[in-house]
Amino acid sequence: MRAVLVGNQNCGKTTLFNLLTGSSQKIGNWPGVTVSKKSGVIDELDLEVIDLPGTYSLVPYSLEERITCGFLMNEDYDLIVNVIDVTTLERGLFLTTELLDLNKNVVVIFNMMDKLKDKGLSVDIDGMRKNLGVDICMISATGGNGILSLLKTIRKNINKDINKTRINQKIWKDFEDERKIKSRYDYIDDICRKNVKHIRKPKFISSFLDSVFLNKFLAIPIFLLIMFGMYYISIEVFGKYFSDYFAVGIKFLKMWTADTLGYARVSEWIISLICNGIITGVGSVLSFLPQLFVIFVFTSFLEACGYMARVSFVFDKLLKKIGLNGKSLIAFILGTGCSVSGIMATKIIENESERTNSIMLTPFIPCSAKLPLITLFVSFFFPNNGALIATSFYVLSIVIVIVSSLIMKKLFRKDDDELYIFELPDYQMPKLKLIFKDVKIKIIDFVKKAGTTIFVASIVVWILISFSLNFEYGVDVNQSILAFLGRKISWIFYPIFKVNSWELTVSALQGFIAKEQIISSMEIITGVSSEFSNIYEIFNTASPFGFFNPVTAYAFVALNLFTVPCVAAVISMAREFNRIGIFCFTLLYQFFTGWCVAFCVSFLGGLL
Amino acid sequence: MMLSDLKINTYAIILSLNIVNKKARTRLLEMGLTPGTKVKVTKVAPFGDPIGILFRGYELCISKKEASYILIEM
Repeated sequence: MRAVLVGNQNCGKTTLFNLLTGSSQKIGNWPGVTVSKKSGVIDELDLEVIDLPGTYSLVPYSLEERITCGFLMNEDYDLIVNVIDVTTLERGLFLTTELLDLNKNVVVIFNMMDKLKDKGLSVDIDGMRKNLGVDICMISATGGNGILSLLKTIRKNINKDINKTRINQKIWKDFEDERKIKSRYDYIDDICRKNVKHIRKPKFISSFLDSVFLNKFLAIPIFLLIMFGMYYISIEVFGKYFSDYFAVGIKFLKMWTADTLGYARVSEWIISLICNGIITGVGSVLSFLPQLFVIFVFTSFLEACGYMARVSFVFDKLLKKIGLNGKSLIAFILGTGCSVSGIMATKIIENESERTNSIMLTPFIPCSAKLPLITLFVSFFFPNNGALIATSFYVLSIVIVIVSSLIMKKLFRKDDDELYIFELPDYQMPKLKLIFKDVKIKIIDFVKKAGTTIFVASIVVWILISFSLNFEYGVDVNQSILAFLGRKISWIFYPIFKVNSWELTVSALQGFIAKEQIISSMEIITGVSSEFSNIYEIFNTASPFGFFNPVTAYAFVALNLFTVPCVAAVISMAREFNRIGIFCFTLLYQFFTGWCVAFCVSFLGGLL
Repeated sequence: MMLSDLKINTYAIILSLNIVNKKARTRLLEMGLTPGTKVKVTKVAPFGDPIGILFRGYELCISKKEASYILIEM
């Protein structure tokens, strides 16, 4: 038996879904799109439940709504559970009238009953039941009230023998008829006049909060303050704090494993595989978790309390001009700390092409892992105006984002972009328990999918570094497979740097694993270690990297900043795109951009 | 008078939606912005666009352009 949850966005449908299905829910994506598909089971009723994307009517205007309408039209289900936010009753009932026209089993849920008092309203439920002709349950999903009677009502209605035949296509024409729409609202006005009463003055909390958060002068500073707070706590506090403890923990784990296995006479290459391959690789995934946890908590809270909609309200006009969304700004700001966080934050953007663009462009914002690279090269080659040069990279990144976004906008125009309306929900205090539940699901999701792939990638890299072409183990990095590959493709970078340097190529390649590894790669190759000697020895004329001059140095930094991001970010992108075409295109575009920018720098710099 | 000209926090009644784009017009009707509905402008974004309007108990943001095609009377 299967039930579907249908309702407007922001009606509390998802909270109810989480409540009913608990840990049994599965999140995937609807086939071929980046929209989450949520299904689960209500154990008490042995009933499958699908949470369909929110929609305002059965005439779809967005990808999400097309999924819902398509499902209701073409798939099999036994019961429609229509969730309505009772504080926006009239609008919610519009969808209800259309659902009732489908001639399927319908149960209506009035959610957020606890908010009626604040609005100064009272609803005659029995009158409503009589007028609408369906069972109505009153609940408060966030408070967990009314759920038992909801389960009873579902059980009662699921077996009703209403005709289960496919829906007549003609009904769709009916839904689009403007006169019909107006007459639906006449009907709704009528039954609401009979059954909804204003019993006291409503509270105006939301409008007061908006007068602060959307104040002409305060809106943007407040936004920046909130972003700074989120960034600081997630990346500076949790990120750095935990990563220090984490690095120590990993070190100990490696030493302990190496000792134990060595004692057990396990062969050296297996020990290296486990310690330098697997533990390092898996550790790199887990090291993201504290930051991601904070990001998820913040974005979940800000979305649930209603602030995200305000961000759209303030910045949309500006950002839509270049094909992005007001909420993309949040992803970019988070991207200055870690691209993975930024990419994950794009989940909050509803419009598909804006979300896709945001995912694609977030890695162009220099993340904190790229900072050591910038610092090293800038301090050596531009000792007198280091700060200016370093800032120029950030300015350049903004230019690249704007230009790329405009290109994407021209290339991937979609009809959906035409219509611009969205709802500003009332502010509400989200229940922390529900926030953490939401966060838990997202974290487990990330670990499962990203963890497995990074695991494999780490092993592959380990193999490439540790073995020579003859599969001899324990060779100098000069003779590894990675160096061989480096030599084979160093011609790609020749036009930029005017040298065929496998050392440069290999270091850049290692940047695809983690941007911090670029410098450590250069250290390993030249034998210079920052712990024991002056790191600037790397640029000694006698060393493999002695060919660098200020122009090519800037080009090298640009090459690594504006190209394909680290494997963790690549995997996050893959997950969020869920379509191999866009994913491959993005990788190609990012590589191409990095190369082009570096080439232009090298070319123009050479002219000066 | 058009909705885009309505001053903040003043009420008006919708007369008709003269929006050419059928999709936009139908969607606004579905959202409840029907002739005869009482409406009020509640906020304007810092860059002048979009605007927030209150009707049927909730707030909707629409672009100033769309609002300029909606006929109202006081």
